[in-house]
Amino acid sequence: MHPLEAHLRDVTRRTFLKNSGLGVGAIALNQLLAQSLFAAAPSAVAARQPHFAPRAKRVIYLHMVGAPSQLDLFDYKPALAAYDGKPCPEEFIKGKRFAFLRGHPRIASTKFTFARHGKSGAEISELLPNLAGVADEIAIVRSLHTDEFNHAPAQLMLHTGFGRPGRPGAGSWVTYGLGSENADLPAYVVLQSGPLAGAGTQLWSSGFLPSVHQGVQFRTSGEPVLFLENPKGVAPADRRQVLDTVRRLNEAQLADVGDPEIATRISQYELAFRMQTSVPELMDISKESPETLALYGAEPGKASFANNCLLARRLVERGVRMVQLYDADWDHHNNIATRLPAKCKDVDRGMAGLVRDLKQRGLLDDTLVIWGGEFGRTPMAQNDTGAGVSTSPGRDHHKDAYTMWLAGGGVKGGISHGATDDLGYAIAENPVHVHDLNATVLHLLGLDHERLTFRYQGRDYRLTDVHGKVVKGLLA
Amino acid sequence: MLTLSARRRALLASFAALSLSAAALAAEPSVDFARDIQPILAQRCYDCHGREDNKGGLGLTSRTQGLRGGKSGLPALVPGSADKSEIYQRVISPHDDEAMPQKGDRLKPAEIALLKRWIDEGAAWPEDLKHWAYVAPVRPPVPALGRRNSAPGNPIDAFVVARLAQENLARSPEVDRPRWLRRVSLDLIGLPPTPAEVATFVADIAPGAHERVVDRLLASPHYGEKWARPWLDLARYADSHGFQRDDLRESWPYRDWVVRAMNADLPFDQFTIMQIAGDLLPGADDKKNPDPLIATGFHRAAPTNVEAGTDQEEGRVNQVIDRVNTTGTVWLGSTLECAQCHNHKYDPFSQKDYYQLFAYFNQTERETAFATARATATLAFTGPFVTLPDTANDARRAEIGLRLKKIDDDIAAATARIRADLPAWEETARAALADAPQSHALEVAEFSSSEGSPHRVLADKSVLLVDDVPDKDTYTVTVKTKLTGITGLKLEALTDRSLPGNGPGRGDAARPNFVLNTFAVTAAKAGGEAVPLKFVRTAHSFAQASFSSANLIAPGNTKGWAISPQFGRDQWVTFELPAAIGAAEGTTLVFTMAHTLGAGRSIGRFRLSAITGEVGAKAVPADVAAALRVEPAQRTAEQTDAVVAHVVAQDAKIAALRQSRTKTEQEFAKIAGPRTLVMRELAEPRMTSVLKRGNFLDPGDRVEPGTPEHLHAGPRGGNRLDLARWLVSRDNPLVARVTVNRWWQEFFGHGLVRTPEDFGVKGEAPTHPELLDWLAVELMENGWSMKRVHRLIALSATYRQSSRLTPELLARDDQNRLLARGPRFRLEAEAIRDNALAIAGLLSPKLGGPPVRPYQPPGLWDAKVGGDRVTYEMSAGEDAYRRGLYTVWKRGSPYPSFMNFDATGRGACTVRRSRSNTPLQALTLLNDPVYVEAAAALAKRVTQELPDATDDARLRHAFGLCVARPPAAVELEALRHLLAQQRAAKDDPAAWQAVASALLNLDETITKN
Repeated sequence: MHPLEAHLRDVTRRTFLKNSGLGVGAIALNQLLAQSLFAAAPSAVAARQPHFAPRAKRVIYLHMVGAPSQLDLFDYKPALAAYDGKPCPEEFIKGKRFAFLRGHPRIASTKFTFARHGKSGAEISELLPNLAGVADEIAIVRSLHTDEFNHAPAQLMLHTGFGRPGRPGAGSWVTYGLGSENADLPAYVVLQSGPLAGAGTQLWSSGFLPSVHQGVQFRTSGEPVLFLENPKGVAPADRRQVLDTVRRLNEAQLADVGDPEIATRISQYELAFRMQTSVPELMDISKESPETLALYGAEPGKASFANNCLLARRLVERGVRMVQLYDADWDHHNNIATRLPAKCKDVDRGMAGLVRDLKQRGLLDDTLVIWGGEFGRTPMAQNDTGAGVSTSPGRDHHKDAYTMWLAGGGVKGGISHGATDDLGYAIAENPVHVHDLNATVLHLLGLDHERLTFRYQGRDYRLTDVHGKVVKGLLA
Repeated sequence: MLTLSARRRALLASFAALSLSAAALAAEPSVDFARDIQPILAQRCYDCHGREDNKGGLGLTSRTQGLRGGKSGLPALVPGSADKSEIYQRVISPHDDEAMPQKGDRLKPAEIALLKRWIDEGAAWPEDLKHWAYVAPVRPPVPALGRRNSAPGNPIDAFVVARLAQENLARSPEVDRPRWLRRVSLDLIGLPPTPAEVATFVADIAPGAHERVVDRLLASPHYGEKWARPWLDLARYADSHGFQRDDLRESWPYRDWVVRAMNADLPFDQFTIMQIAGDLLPGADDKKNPDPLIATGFHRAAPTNVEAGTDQEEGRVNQVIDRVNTTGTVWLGSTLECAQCHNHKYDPFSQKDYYQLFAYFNQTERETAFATARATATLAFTGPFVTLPDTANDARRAEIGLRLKKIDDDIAAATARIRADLPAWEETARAALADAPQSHALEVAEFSSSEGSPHRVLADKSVLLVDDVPDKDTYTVTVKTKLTGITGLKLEALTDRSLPGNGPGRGDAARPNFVLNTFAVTAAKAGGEAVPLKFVRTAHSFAQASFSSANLIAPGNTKGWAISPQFGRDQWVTFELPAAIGAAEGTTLVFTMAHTLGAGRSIGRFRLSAITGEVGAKAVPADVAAALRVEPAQRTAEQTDAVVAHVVAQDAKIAALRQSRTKTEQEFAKIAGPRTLVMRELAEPRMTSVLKRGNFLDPGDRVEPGTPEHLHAGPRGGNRLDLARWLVSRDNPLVARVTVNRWWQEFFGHGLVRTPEDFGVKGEAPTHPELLDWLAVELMENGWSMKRVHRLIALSATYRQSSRLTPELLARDDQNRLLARGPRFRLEAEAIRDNALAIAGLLSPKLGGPPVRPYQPPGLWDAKVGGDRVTYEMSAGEDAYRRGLYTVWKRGSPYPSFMNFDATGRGACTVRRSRSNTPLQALTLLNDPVYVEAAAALAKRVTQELPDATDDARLRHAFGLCVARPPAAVELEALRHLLAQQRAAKDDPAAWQAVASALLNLDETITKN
């Protein structure tokens, strides 16, 4: 038993008995203390048993905000070349809704080269040379689809299972279902490169779940966590004195009124104090070896996706359950020819380095890595002049077919799952709805998505709403 | 009409959820269907065998269905024999493939035992049984109590004590006066009592002291501020749209109306009617009393998706859905949303019912529109609003209006004069102009933005940037021209209605400046190499101090060209070439225009032209020159207009008038009266259909407005006003119960029904059904007065109990369902800050007004995809210390310390916030500069208020300010110890600040005790 806890238990018990004047309550009191000090306190986040044996214990979710073009990265469609610049087939647009495309848009083939990689021969674009090097570790799902075709609703749909605000995200569901394995860090951490996604902090808010399950944003500039640092002029020793006083007074209050919430609060103050050390230690990547830094392309002191990938490894190493990386600026309505390569350069080395590093440290087996956007992009070019002139084209939002990849954590490596038609427009086989993806993620974590429910406003809510099937083909 | 016995049974059913001990259950004589069995069926079976789904052909919502059984042909129920009943066999089956329920956990042994006994006893199933919540409440008799209990305070206590007596429990002792005063102050006005108030109350030994306190608090203007908070959670009130384009919007007068309505104790039925349908009330358009319109802001608070590319009809339908669901939650305590896609599985709401309600709300206009007719991707936030009377500025607005009119008249007169003088002007100017240098707008072949900003090329060959504004942006423009003799180039920065503040910059509406940092051009002859062009000089229409266009051609230029404060009008710059360029076979020009300052200071609309002739003189647009060559009588209307427009544009007087107009407009905007979003019924009704599976693209049968069939009788047809009146009808079994239950929740931490958002069969039954009904009737029969009910609760002996949790109570009733003790809960997010500021003496008592921006860490609003750029500028003066109610609520980035204490983004209706206990809360109270400042202020306050006192006296004072009671010896000792420790290393103010910080961090300080 921690000496503090022993002390607390003793003090509380004595005062409590004195105040309540009850001898007979001693047994019940012991139960109270046992519950409140050692169970109730961390109960909201204590590690909990999954529904069945998990394959993954942790998740790293790499969200490319804005939606990368699957047709230029993973879903190679040589047939598009023959139609390049020609009006798209009528059935592509009949009865369909697009965010921006109007009139009769033209087909745009990819301007990038694809090659086969690894034993699996996965087709990956030249824009992702490092990722191509770990082709045999990843499962490429080319048949994702979603319901929403605007950014904020689609981001909410992907993470919370619903296209409007108010519901908890996958990270909150996972910590609600499984709790935390680290007593000194939050169970659910968010890292960001570039501006905040369109849906804002709602993406990692805990919705109607208790806020203990919300994602905590770790920032690479300013305080790593809001309000983490002591105010100016307050040394750690000062802080400890204040905390000790708060604890003594809270103990006295606990002894007086017996509310287990007070015991919880005492323990949360201790966790806060530990976070003041553990978070800066975690965020400091300067002590990583030069080889490791090079593997990711990380540079200490810089804010980058590569650094965030390295931080993600450091977080899961410490038992953080869910780590989400949001990387902005993938919304390439135009200039895809220059902007997509630039963005790929931002992420390729970092994410491939992450997969390699997890693997070499034996973490990949039980860490699930997911990469993708909130939807895909059209095989039709978006020309934005409004005058019928195609200048520096890009692609519009496409909800009906796109690509994500997964690695580790019980996912079969070196496979591809699902396929689109010849023009990459519609799904030809094995469709995977984002609900199916979420059901699968929970399944890998040992959670049955139909049983992980929370009663709110009269309904048993689930991450997958009333949908979702586990994608068996992805399971190792 | 239900019989009284049915009502009694329904009430009895509500005891079912109260299984405090196995012993209590075992003591029940026989199984009662409503109390014991129906909840099991509802909770465990109705997902698949309810009103909607009949998996395996089996429904379990009536005895007949049970007797008939499902597809297997075996009866689910065989009265008298559980062993022969399929339902029983399935719940005990060890085989996974046939065990029930298939979804969710297995039944508990106690539930299985009940089911077996019920079937064995004959499976009694009263056919007229109606769920308790759908039977209108009738005032129950107040229990008469035996001698065993002391006299209760008011009828509330009689019900509570009667219930406790059943459990052989007694009430907790009365809480001491300071604690009660703090509790009731926090509950009624959301602020702690002052030391003087504590002293007065403790000394007030005359009868009625408690009543005097409660009446004082109910009369306080802060009462409405405290009680508006939970209501605004229901209303999902926020100051921004939500979603990607999360721009701020003005609706705060609605928030202030809620505060005023509560302070005035506006009867809850009126409060309801005004919010649902104030616009349809007689006299709604009385300009002197806009309250009925303002109140409709309730439903305008639904989030609006203004993201570019959104399907506007889908957005509109989603808002109507939100309005139906929110109405169901707030006034009916029912989850109607299930019926969006199919008939409700448990509760008596059909899909048709849902869309009949939908039809009432389907009659308002869409709240988005294309930003301009040209930019059909970008959306603007629209919809009706009302401008509030603002007598303070009415006179000034009238005066400015007159000035604007004068300017317009002057411009019109000057323009008319130009038209009249045109022949004379042409006489002298024509020859010169025809040979004057000309500008030729260049056709854009390619445009790209480094940040991928979408654009449109307009008919006048200008380029308009649309959609989100990146921080910095570099434009690359390629043009091809066959012009020869190009002596210079011209860049025009143009205004456009779609730009913030009309542009020409994109950054912000108040200062639509731009800073063009570099302007570089290469020229290539057909088949030749691109050569960078050099320029000898520039000229401009205007440049701001030290941002001359000359910077653009100066070596090592970094500053560039900018135009503050001459926004809102077209600007131009010309670049003179050392020698003419251009070849008949064609020249490709590539322009690179970099805006590197940040904050979106890039040009929003521009046009590039080539100049032929002498650059020094003012170049005439080529089309004007061409028009001038035509005899006036022969000119087309366009040509005449082009000439007039050109002359007007050259006219210095008109230019001055236009600039003065822009300035005057800005002056006007600054004192524009506040506006607020309202509902307005369409003139032509919109048709409503059932949406199959809730899909707005798949309409089914047409429906008319109407209320749910299984609730109390309501209008067929009609409008929102009829719906509103139906909601607060005395026959509505739900509204008063749902309302008093939410109030109870604010006082006691939990409602009498612990699922305040769900009074349906899957919700929890009330812990005190008769008390709930008594309060509901009390509300309805006393003019729907909220204050009256609050007074009753606050003055009850139940509320006056100590909150101390004894081991016995912990073992018997840790959740305090029986109300054997007083409430003890952490304060809500806003109240924690309000409380700290009040203790510190920093809190501003100012009521109402636009949202304020207290300190928050820098950068949280700056970097986000989508929407206007708004830098979070902290409010000045007392506005930084206003109550949390007034803090700006931006849905995509809400005030972080509130989020750490379980506030929500207000994206959806919230009936109860979670109440968590996390390390981030500790960090917030310890380190958020708001609390650091509060600690410093508290330390200062204590030393200033007791300048000559001892340490102990000051410690007592500080402690009292925080928790309204004197410290116990052990508490005082702990504080003395900290003070001594700190003094060893620090000066006195710092030492006292540490003490103050400790006090503000106490569990008791942030708890209603």
